[in-house]
This record gives sequence, C-alpha cells and structure tokens, in this order.
Amino acid sequence: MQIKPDIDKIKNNITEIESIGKKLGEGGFKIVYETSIKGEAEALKIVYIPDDPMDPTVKEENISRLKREIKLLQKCKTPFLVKLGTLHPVETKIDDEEYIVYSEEILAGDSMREKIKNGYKPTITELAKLGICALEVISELWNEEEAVHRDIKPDNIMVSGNENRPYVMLDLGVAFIVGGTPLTRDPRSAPGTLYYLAPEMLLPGFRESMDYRADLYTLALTIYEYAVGKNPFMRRGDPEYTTLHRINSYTPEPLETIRTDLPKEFCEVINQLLKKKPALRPNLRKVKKLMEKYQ
Amino acid sequence: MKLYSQCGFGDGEKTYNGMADGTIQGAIFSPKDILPNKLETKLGNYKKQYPNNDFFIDPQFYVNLHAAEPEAKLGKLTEWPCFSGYRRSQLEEDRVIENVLRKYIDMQCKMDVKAIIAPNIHISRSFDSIEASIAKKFIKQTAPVYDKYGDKRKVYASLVISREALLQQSEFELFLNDITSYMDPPDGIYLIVSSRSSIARTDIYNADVIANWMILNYAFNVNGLEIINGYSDIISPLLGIVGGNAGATGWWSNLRMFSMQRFLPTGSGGRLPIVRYLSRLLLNRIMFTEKDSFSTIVPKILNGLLRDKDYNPEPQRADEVLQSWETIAEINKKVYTSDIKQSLKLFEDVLDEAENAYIQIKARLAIDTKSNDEHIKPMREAIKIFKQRAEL
Repeated sequence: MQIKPDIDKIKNNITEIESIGKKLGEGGFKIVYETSIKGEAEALKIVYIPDDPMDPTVKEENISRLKREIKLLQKCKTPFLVKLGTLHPVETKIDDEEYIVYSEEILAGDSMREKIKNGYKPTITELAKLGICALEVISELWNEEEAVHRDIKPDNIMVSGNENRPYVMLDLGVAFIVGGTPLTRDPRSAPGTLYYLAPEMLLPGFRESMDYRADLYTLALTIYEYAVGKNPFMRRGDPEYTTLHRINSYTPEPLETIRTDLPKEFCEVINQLLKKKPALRPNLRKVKKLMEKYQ
Repeated sequence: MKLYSQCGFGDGEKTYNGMADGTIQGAIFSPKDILPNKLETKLGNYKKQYPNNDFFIDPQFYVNLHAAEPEAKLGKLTEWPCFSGYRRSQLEEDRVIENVLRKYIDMQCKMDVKAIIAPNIHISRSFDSIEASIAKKFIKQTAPVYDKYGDKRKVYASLVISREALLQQSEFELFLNDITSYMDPPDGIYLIVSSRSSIARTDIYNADVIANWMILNYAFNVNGLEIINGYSDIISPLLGIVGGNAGATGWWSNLRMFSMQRFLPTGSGGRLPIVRYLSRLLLNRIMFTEKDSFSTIVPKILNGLLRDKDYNPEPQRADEVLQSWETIAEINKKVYTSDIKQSLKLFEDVLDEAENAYIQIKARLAIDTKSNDEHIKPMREAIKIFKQRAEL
C-alpha cells in the first residue's frame, strides 16, 4: 500500500473497532487486518483514497468506485463470493490522507496462492468444484449487474475446506460494470493483474465489448495454474511488454500434456477457454455442464 | 455431418429417393414452394417412412422486407398465415420482433418438424448496419420467446448473411463476439451465406468467405450450439470438419447456392442448365459429356459409386441431385475425423489430388468455365486463414 495509515488512529476514529490484529493482505491502495467488531472476528479493509489537487473529480470517482464495489458485494447472493461484515463503509482522515474503512467476513482456510506455493496438486473433483463455485459468481455478477470481476486469480480465491463453500472469491476492487466509469484515466490502460489480464483487455476500446467471457478466461487460467502449479504466461525477469505480447500470442501447452491424469474432455475445455478471441471460448452453459459432470 | 435436401420447386420424388439411398438424412422445406396443408401431409408421410430423419422449415422471413416490391417472386409464401410484409423501420422495435418470432414459432410448433427454425432478416451489406442490429435482436430473443411455449423440441435461430458482410473482417469479428455472448442462446443456428446470384461461383469460392463461414461453424460449435448450413453444397464437408452438424443442397443452382435473386424479378426465364456430374476427385461438377472425356485421362474422376450407373449413357435431370448427395456424403466420410487438424489435413490432401487431376486434364483438354479448377485455390487458402483465425 502506498500510504499506510496509523492503525491506532484508525481504531480511535472508528469506535466500532474493538481491536486490530495481524495483517491479512495488502495491495496497491488497500491493506487488510484481522479485527474484532462486536465480539466477532472480521477482516478490516482500509482503502486509501488518492486525491488530485488539480482535479477534484478524481477523489469523487475513487469514492464512488469503492461504493460500487461494496454495493456489488451487498447485492450478490452467491455464497461463493466474500460477504460484507458488520462495519459499513466509513470515510476517515488520518494525517491529512483520506481512507474508507469497512469490514468483510473472515474466511477460514488458505488462499489458493498458498496451496500452489506448497506444491498442492488438486484432483479433477476439486478443479471441477472450483469451476462450479467461480461460474456461479461470474454468472451472478453478469446477470444481475452486467459486471465482470476482472481479477480472478489464485490470490483472490480462498480454499476454505468447508463443503458448502469450498472456494470463495474475493476482491471486486477492479470489477468492470458495463456503462460504469473507467478505473484509469488512460482509456487504453487496463486495470487488473498483469499475468491474469484477458487478451481482449489489451485491445484499445475494450470497454465497448468486454463481457463475462473475460472472467471465463481468467477462471480457466486459474484452474490451469492450480492444476499445474504455474501460470503459463509468467517468466521470471521478463519485462512487462514481453508478458503482454505472450498473453496476446502464446498458446499455453495443452493441459492434458502436463496433467495426464485429468480427463481429456475437461482439459480441452480449459484449453479452449484460453483462446484469445472471446467468441472462440465455450459459453457459460457449456462450461457449467462439464464442471457438473466432474465435480 | 448430416446432409439434407434443400427443397424447392419441383421436388417430385427426389428427396424420397435421396433418403432411400441413405445419402441424405432429412430435408429443409421452402414455404415459397409448398402450401401449409400440403407440407403438413408431406411431413406426415415422410415421418411415417423415415421416422429417424430430420425435417425442418426454413421460415424464409428474409424475403418479407421485399414483399412490397411489385414483382417480388413470393410464390406460395403469401398463403402461409404467418406471412406479412414489413418495413425495416418496423423491425427496429423489440415488440414487433417478438410478434414475428411468435407467429413463426406458432406455425412450426403445429408441424411435425425435428426442431423449430426462428425467422430472421438478411444482412445484405455489413455487420455494421441496422440490418445486423435487427438480426442480432432476432437471435437474442429466439430462446427467451420460444421457452414460453414449453415445447420440448430444439430451437434454432436463423442467421442469413451476404458474402459482402463476411468480407469485412473487423465488423464480422465484433458481430460474432456479440452473438456468442448471449446468456440464453438458442440450441442452434440455421446458417445461410448468400451470394449476389446463384450462378456467381466466385462469390462463394472466395478464401475469406469460406474461412469466415468455417469460423462461424467453429465458434458456434465451441459454444455448444448446433449448426445447420443451408445451401452449403460442396462446401459442406469443410463446414462439417470444423463443427457444422449438417449441410444442405438441392437440385437447382438456386438450391445449391443462396441468393436473394431467387425471390426477386429476373430479366428472362433462361434455359435449363446442362446436367452435370459431381466428381469426388475434382470437388466440382463437370458436364456429363466432359465426364467421359476426362475419365480417359484420369479414370479416378469417376466416383465408382452406385449413382454412376444413372450417367450411362445419359442422366435424367431428376437423378443429378441424387448423384450430388451421394458424392458429398462420400467426401464427408473421407475427410471427417474427431480431430479438426487431422481432418483439415485430409481435406488438403483431397485438394492436392484434385489439383493434380486438373493439371493432367488441362494438359490435354479444354475445360468448360464452370468445370474448371478455380475453386481449389480459395478452398486451400480458406483452410490456412481459418487455422490462423481459429487459433489452431
């Protein structure tokens, strides 16, 4: 996080917060701590709101974007998306910097990133269950709000070990809403995580045509990485433009050649979902049917 | 890939005989050429004799925008209760599109067809047009409107596009991107590619046209949609390789290649064309007189199939289509495998063989324009373009 707030001051400013514990995660504009509110353990999210003295609309836009994210979380009913906690968004000023603070439920288990780091090899049933959970989120976001998550990746998925909610997706921070305002001022630049950008997001004017199939692509990429332990577009030390070129032109090695134990039909659909053109990716209905077959 | 009879005027016993031969597995009927009650009886008879075959009705709604033209050749279309003329501006309203869909679905639900084919208009110039935007609405609304009927049969949306539209790559890709994004898509697509006239062979035998026709089949198949290709004739095997479920062709040139001219006034009646023989080796129809002379140079231009006997010495016009169906069915068998890349390679081998045969024939004989080899290069090029566009 660029400008970290003083935690004690946050606690003093927001009376509902009983205690702030260990850090759970951190991003460019966001930091997450374990917290206790009304005796319950929750995840406290502190989001920095950047301001531009030359352009007062920047701050307003940043606030409205965060509110949109929170509104999306409030609206989505699927259990496979993280739920909001008891602390509703509060705007607070610490050392002349503005933050919005709110809470989300705290999820047991490990992040998928941790599992990958530890060399975990998921079974076909686990991969299919991951598919089912994520598809429900993708489908609800698109059907209810015409929204695209845009940042599906192992870091944003919790593997809970809970049969009712085996995989829970986090972070709608860069979600795209059709007709919404862009996250960056540069119309050509695409927010998200470099290695997990859908190829269509690299096209100028992608906001005109992007849809839920960008999430199907990143879901397939996440399943691929979870299955083989490696993101196929990632090479240590590569400059950004090389990675972007690879995302646009490189076809990952077919999944079945690395995970020979997985059903060919399953691997073929994952391979096909990784096509660069959205029209060449299987639709949600077809992918769901396949995942249900193997879950 | 299945092959269907693309029915039109003067069916007689042709479709029956094709089904008896086992070379076609169904038929697509043309309301322009048959009255509703007659079709109902016909469908009943067909189903009795061939219960496992597939029968469909092409709604031919794409003609309705031309209904007001004084000399429009509408045939029996006006006798169908669902028929009425429309202006394009009327179809810009969702409510009108819904009504049209309902009328045509109502009509087909009462018939013994395998699946319902929803109506649509013809995209005559570009995917970046009002026509294309109306066509998208028809496709998008097909499944939601049909779902209300509770009919268990499948529903196909129609997609009728001109070769001109297929030649504009970026607009084509955007259109394809849109129509494959629908969350409630139809079960399949009845796909027609139109040429400027049904004798303009080079209109369809164009590398980009064939490649994008293949891409449509591939993309719909990947998306879990079934595809019936109307008027696909000899292109059918290529479309089957990349995911098409069926192709269709008929006995007149305007049933082998689609053109809106079939419904519009023409200058003169013209004379009946010469009966031709479809050579599996050449992937082309040659005059029956050429068959004998060519075969003295390359004996393999003769298919060696059952219907060859009808051409000794001179074929009956009614037998020509039976020979065509038989040949296309054989090409399908020869090139189709479950692996796209392997099948495309097999088709490229077929093109190599055709090219070699033409070289030998051309060295010794003059070839009629329609019988020549101008189809080979675009087909070969189309495969190359397709592979690249399909990211294979």
